[in-house]
Amino acid sequence: MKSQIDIHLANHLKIFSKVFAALVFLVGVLAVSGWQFDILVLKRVFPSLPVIAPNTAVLFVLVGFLVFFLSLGTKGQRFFSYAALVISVGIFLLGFLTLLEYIFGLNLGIDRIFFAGKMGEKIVRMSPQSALNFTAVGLALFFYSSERRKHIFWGQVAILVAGIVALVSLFGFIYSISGLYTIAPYKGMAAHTAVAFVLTFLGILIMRPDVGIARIFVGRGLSGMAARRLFLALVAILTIEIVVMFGGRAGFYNIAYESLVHLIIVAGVFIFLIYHSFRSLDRLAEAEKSLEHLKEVDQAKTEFVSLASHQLRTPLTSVAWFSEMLLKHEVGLLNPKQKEYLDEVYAQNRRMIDLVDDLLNSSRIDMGMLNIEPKTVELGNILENLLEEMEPLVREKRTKIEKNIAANLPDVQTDPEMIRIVFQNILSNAVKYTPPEGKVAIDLGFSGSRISFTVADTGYGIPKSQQSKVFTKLFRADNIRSKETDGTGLGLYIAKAVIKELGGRINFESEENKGTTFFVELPIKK
Amino acid sequence: MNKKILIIEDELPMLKALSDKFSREGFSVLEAKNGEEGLDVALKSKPDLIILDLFMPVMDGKAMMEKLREDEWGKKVPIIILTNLNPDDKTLNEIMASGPSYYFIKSKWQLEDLVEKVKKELGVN
Repeated sequence: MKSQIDIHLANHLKIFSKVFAALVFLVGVLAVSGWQFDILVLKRVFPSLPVIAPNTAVLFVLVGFLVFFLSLGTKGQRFFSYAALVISVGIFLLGFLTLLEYIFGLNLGIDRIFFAGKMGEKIVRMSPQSALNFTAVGLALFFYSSERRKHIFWGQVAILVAGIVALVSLFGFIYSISGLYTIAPYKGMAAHTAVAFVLTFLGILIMRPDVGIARIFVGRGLSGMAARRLFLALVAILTIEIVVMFGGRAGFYNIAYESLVHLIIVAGVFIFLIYHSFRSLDRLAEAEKSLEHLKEVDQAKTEFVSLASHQLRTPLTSVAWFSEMLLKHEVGLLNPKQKEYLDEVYAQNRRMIDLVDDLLNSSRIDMGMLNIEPKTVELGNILENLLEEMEPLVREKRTKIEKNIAANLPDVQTDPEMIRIVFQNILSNAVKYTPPEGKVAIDLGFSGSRISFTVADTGYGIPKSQQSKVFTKLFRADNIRSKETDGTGLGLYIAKAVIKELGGRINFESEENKGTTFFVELPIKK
Repeated sequence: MNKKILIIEDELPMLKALSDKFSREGFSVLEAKNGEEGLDVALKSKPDLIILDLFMPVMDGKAMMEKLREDEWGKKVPIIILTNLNPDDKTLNEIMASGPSYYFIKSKWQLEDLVEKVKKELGVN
C-alpha cells in the first residue's frame, strides 16, 4: 500500500514548480536579448566564464514555457498534449543532435539556426554538458506530457540525470574548479545555464509531487517528515559551507580554521536534527496512543449500547407476549376498560421496543456495522405492512392518510430490513409531528432506474434556522419538544445513514406550521 | 395427533409465555432452561420440533445445535431459532445457514406468528 501524501504540501510544491519555470523562462529571455542586442553581460556573467550559446538561450525559453504549461495540466485536452509533445521532442532533438556533433566531430549546421549574423565566423555551440542536459530535459518533458504515472516516473529519472550534471557544473563555478564545467577552454556551461538547469530540474521534479521520487518528500507519515528534515539539513549544510568557503577565499581565516568551522557546522546541524526528530517522534507516538485509547473507549461505548439494547429487549418482549395473550382473550374475556388499559400497555411497550431498536441501529451505524444484503423486495408490501402497524397511532390522531402506490412499481434489489427502517422513521415522524386531524400524503413511484418515495404532512414543520441540523444525531426541533416527548432524535440520522448505504438520496422541504415533505430516492438495483 | 415440541429458553418469563401458549394450542410441551438440559431432553424424548434460544448460559443455542446434529435423529429434527438479533446480523445468518427451518425475532413479531410457523412446519392446523 502506498503511503498517504500531504496534499497541502504537494499543492505548495506545485506553485514552486511554476515559479521555477518562470525563472527559467526569464533566464532564456534575458540570454536571447543578450544575443539580439549584443549585451555581453547577459551572454556571460563574468568575462572569464563561458558564453551562453544561442541555442541554449532559445531552448530555455521553450523549457520554461513548457514546464509552466505542463504544471497547469493539459486538462486532458488533446490539442494541448500534442503541442507539449511536439515542443518536448524539439528540445530533445536539438540537444541530442548537438551531442552527436560532439561525439562524431560533425557540423550539422544546427548551431547557426539562431543569431547566425551575430556570431560572425565562429560557431558558438552549446557545451556537451548542456547538450546532454537538453536531451534529458526533452525526454523528461516528453514523458511528463502523457500525464501517466508510469511515464512520469521515467521522466523523473531523466530529469535526475540532468539535475546531477547541472549541480556538478554549478559547484564547479562556486568552487572555481573549471574542470567541472568546461571540457575544453570556453567549451563549458555558462554560469546562468547551470543555474537555469538546476531550476529546471527542481521545477520538473516537483511538478508532480504525487509520483515516484518526488513522493518521498511529501509523505504524510514519519518517512516523509524524515525525508524533508534531512533534505533541509542538506541544503543548510551546503549553504553554510559555501558561505564559509567564500569567507576563507576572502582571507577572513586560514585553512585550519576553515576546517574547524566546517566540522562545527556539520556537527551542529546533525545535533539539531537529532534533537528535533526525537522530540517530534515522541509527540507522534503519544498522539497515536491517545487516538488508540479514544478508539477503545468508542468501541466500549458502542458495545455497551448493543448489549444494553439486547438486555432491555428481553423483559420488554415478555411484556409484549403476555399482553398479546391477554388481549386475545386466551385466558378469559376482558371487560372494555381492561382491554383499553391493556391496549395502552401493549402500545407503550411497543414504543419502548422501537426506542431500543433506534438506539441499537444508531450504535451499529457508529460501528460501521450496517450489513446490506440485497434481496428482491416489493416496496408496496413493506409500505402496506407499516401502515397497518401504524394504524393505532393514525386512528388515535385521526390523521387522514392519502396513499398513492404506482400500479406497475418494479421489484427492487435492496435490503428489506433497511428499507423498512427508513420508511418507518419517515412515516412515523409525519404522523407524530402532525396535529390531530391533519393529513399525510404518501407517494411511492418510480422514474427510470430510481424509486421515489415522498411523504408530505400538514404538520408543525421544522424551523428554518434548524433545518440544516435535521439529519444530525439526537436532533429534535425546538417547536416539537414540548408537543411530542417520545422522539429519540435518532430516526432521521439512521434513515440518512441507511439511505446512503443503499445508494440513495434523502432531502426535505419544510415550513413551520404548514408542514414538511420528505423525498427519498433509491436505485432499483443496488 | 398430539405433536410434541421442546422449548429451550433461559429467560423464565419467556419460557412460561411460550409454554402456556403452545399448550393452549394443543401441543405437548417440554421445557429446558439451557442448551445442556435441552440436549438431554431432546435425545431422551425425541420431540417433533425444537424451539431454541441462541444466547443462553451453560451451553448456548449454537453449541447445542452442533451437538444435536451429531445424533442420527438430531440431524433431521426441525429447529426454530428464537433471537433478538436483527435479520441482517452476521451471527444469525451463519447459524441459519447450518440448517434451522426458521428464525423468530422475539421483540418484533407476535407469538401468533410463531405458532403459525410451528404449525406450518409440522403440517398441522
